[in-house]
Amino acid sequence: MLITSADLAQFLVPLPETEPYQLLKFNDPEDFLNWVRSHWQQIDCLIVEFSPVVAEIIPLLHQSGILLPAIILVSEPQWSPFPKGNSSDCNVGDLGANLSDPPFYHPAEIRFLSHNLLEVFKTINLAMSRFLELATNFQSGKQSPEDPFPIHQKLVNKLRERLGYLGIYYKRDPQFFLRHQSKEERDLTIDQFRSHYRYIVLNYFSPPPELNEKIDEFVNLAFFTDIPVTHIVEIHMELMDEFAKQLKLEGRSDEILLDYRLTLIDIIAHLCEMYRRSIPRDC
Amino acid sequence: MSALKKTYVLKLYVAGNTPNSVRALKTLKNILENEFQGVYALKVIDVLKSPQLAEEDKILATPTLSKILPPPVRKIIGDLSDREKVLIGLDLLYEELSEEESDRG
Repeated sequence: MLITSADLAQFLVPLPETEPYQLLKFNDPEDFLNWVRSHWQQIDCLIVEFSPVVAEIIPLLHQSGILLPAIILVSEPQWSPFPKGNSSDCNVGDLGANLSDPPFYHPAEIRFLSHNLLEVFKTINLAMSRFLELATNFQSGKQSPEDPFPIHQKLVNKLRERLGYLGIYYKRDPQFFLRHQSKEERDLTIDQFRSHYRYIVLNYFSPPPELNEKIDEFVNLAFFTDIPVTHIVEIHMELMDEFAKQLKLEGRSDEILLDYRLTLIDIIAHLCEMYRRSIPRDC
Repeated sequence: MSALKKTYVLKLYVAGNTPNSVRALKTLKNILENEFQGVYALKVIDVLKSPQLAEEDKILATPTLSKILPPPVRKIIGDLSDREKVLIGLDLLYEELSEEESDRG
């Protein structure tokens, strides 16, 4: 919970003991942000008082990929994040009415007039169920136009847009195939795959403009050398092991490495689509 | 990789199944099969189905043939009916000339 104004804070009562939640209060936005970033997995719901500072924090949360059920407290009509709306937009009884306003944090957030502060805890469950609903809608492909899961959405879009081949005509030379290369050549080729792949992984989530080209290049190389996909998976695993060791040395969790499975899926999907669309000649 | 030096990666952008697109594809396949001895992959892309891809590669007209590999990237716009223009665009003509020269030398 982030409350910046003192007069609002004094209205705050201790959470009823019947509630299964633990309430943590912050009045410094920076503390709040740091704590959310490091403990986001344990948080059930964010409650923030809307203020200009919060408007700066929300994009930072987006950047960190942190999305949680949220209740936005709007203290007075003039505090409304969207001046064009009237005060009734923020009324609890009227939750559906402000859907046309752009969401402040994500489409499942709940706006709440802060003079009802005593009631706010009752809204936590609602905020959570709306958030879950959003997640399920996303999984069944009915996601809202807002993009609540940028990373996953990115992959789906990217594959859909990038791999629209009508057909691929090709001629390959079996001489280039990995299995026909001498041992030295093969080591060289695998090394090349490794360095390409490392570049792609390191840049995958902060893509430089030429990342797609790099993926293309990697996949072309894979196509022309007819490399078994197991090799690509091995390269991925080796790299992940290496990163995991490094993260452990630094005392950090290696959980983030799971995200890089998307990179592998992306590459393999690309390769698969290239073979699927290919119109073979003699070899 | 040295083995990939003579490898061509081409992208042909078409907009649906127009006569121009079909002609371009036919001509190109003909060139690749008859005159080009190397290794290639020609990816045919429908810009109507993959607008994003066309935007990324800055395709302004169709059909457009884009040579991705070997560098530099070159684009040839039109139905590719001017055979010589295509060969020059693909550096194939130049390559043939330099091969002839090296044969003589």
